[in-house]
Amino acid sequence: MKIFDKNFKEMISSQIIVIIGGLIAGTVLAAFTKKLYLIPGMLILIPGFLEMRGSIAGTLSARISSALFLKVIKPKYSRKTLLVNSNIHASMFLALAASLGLGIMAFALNYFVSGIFFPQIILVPIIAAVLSEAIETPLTIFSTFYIFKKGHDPNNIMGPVITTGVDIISMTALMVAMVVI
Amino acid sequence: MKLEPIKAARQMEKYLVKLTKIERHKHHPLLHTLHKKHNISRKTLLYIKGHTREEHMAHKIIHGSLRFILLATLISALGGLALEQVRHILIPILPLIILLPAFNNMAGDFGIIVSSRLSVMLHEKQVKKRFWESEELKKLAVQVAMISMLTAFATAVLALIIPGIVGDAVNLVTAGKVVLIAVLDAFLLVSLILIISVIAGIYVFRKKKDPNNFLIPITTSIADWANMVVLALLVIMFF
Repeated sequence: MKIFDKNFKEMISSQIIVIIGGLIAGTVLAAFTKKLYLIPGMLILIPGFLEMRGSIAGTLSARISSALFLKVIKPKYSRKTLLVNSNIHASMFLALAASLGLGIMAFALNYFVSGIFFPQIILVPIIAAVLSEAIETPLTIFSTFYIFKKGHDPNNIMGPVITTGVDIISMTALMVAMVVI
Repeated sequence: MKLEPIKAARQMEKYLVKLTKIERHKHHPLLHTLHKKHNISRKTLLYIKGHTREEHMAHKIIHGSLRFILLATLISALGGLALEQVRHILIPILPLIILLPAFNNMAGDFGIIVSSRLSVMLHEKQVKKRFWESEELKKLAVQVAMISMLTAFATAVLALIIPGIVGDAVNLVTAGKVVLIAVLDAFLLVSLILIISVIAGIYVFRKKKDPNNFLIPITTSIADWANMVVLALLVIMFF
């Protein structure tokens, strides 16, 4: 049984990229630990918010990649490209709707499990979603275009890249939202 | 009788518009007709049916994704609840806070790796009835366990170095506990992912369904949730 084969090397390489992103996001979180004490329920929000941002950006990149391979769109942004615009609108709506759901859940869990009434927590993921959406969506689209133009398959590269980028941007956005609240 | 090119093109356009309007089923008869008559690949036709009416595309994406994204988000939030219960222990230990996002990703990543590779093995009939005797499966389990523990160890060490740089280093006992928590969490998590994937994968495959469609959402959701719960339990145990 050969353990250290091509699969092993590929898995460990992608994990290294993901870990670096995770550690940078963790450092951002660590810089705001004092604020974490002030807002109850922040630790409920963090895993859900990162998961939500990763899912939205990941599926956006996958859909753009499919459209590029099928030659439905060109790897160049134009306001007239309805397909890209529809994806942007959908991504924005999904982010806001999921953030609202997450905020309500964090509020409910805070209230029913910990007995803390803190409705402002609903606003934290919504503000963070607006901030991160403004950066992540264009970044995802243009990175997918760039990788495709360079002759690579975005499906193979964008996974770890998105996870890394999204974690850092989303965590920063979440912390900014926390400070605003 | 062979149609004239213009007439054929018009007819195809008419079919394509009709195709975009019908409800989405994987093998609609019209799709086969278009494939045979105009030699357009089935995958392209399926894409056209799903995506070319651009004015409805955003609605379709939202309709198709919202419930899954909401479900995944809420499951992760439930995992976060476990962390919230130990926040008074967790927040003062900076390396554990730094580890959180990295571990959050790692769980989902291993869920995807195990599920997709197991699905390939099932399709290629590499997993026998006595699955524990399958060489490929054993290799996957060893590889994933090794990588998870190695990366957990490296992540924990780096998470200990970062606060040290800014003059907030932890003592040796706490450092040892952080490393042990990270490695144990990775091992327990990967074991759980493997058990769930193998049992669910074989069951789904025997039901003649594609394990790819079921395993990834199941394992990533459970892994995300379990990761936070296991981490919270280990924090309680060690601190």
